[in-house]
This record gives sequence, C-alpha cells and structure tokens, in this order.
Amino acid sequence: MTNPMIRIHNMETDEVIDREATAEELAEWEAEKAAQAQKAAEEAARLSAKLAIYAKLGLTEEEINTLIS
Amino acid sequence: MALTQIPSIGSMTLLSVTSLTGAASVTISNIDQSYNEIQIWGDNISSVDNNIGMRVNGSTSSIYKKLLLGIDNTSTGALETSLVRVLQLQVSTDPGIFRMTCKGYAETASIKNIINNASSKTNTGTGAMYNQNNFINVGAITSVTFFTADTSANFTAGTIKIYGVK
Repeated sequence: MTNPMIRIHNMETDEVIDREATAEELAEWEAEKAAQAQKAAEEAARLSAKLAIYAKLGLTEEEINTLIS
Repeated sequence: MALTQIPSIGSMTLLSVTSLTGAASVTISNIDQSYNEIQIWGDNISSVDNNIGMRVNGSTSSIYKKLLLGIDNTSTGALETSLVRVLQLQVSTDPGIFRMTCKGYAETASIKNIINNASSKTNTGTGAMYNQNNFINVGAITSVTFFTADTSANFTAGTIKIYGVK
C-alpha cells in the first residue's frame, strides 16, 4: 500500500510538488490522530460521568438533555 | 494554476487555485503578504474522511483557540487545539464547501483570526458549521495546509482558491 500523497503548491513560483508521505511523516500523522482520538475519548468519558451523576440525582432523560444541551 | 497580471474585481484578487484531488495533505506556501486580508474558498471537497482539518504555517502546536458551532457533526472539534476543523460534515457522501476570512494575516505581532463558514453542497446534505479561530504566536501566516484529519486518505475532489483583499 502506498503512503498518502503530500502536495505543496508554492504560490510565489506556481510550482506544485506531489510526493508520497515519508514513513516519518506518516508516523507523525498517525500519532497526531491518536492524540486527537484520545482527547475525544476523554471528553466522552467526562460526559458519561456527568450523565451518571445526573441520573443519580433522579433527573429524567428529558431534564438531563435540557441541562447538557 | 497561478494567475498573474489579473486586475482586481472590486477589491479581491484571485491569487491561486490549488486542486486537492489525489493528495491527503495540501500546503499552499509563500502566500503573498501584500494584502490586508485573504479569503480562502474551498469548493466541492470530497474524501472518504468526513473531517477536514487545516493548519497555519505547518504548526501542530496548541495554538488554535476556537469557537465552534455546528449541526450534524460531532463535537470533538471544539476541543482540539492542534488544528482547525474546516469541514466536519459528510463529505464522503456529499461534497463540502467553505468560505474563510483571515484578516491581518500578514501582521507579525497580532493574534490571527480566521472565520470559517462551511456547509454541504447539495440538498442531500444537512451539515453546517461555523467556527471562529484565533491563532496565537504564529507570526505572519505564510502557508496554509488542508488535510484529511482522521484517515490520512487522499482527497477525491476539491479545489482551494485564495483571494487577496486590499
């Protein structure tokens, strides 16, 4: 499988360079995506915890939705 | 394709047209610094990845502070500090469009601000988003990079135009 392509368009010279991402660039890219996914998971966990607390308070689903929307 | 010696229409001058098709990351570099602001237009953008990101000056640091509003997209983009979500729609099934304004992009000392409006292209898509982004400590914006944020898959369609505004 080929790596994703990287394009660089130099506005000053109008030169366009297309090349495959290097293994290092791809690894960096994957690491960034993993970090973003981690943040998203943490946020989802925070939301779940919040919902659990609301549920303990005896709020209805409609009331919870009102609070978090 | 760069356009030269084209007179401004009103106060906007088309500076560059760049295809996204066939690349997963597209950088437009050496942006002309002689305008008061730039407008960045993205049209007909498609990818198997529904989330399209942008960075300025290639920075992956936590410089991107934002306000994000949207419908039919997930909320994760609001928390990210290392990129701007340009499109967070269903571009795999319905192409996306965005219009960005970046004022004071050539100034070196001020916080940069980009306002982005994005939506699906056709009636089959219902996604829309608005985000306002401040970039801190970036200096003048000399390049912008658009990329498929979640899959690293190549774009299947799309064009980026940059206009200079006096």
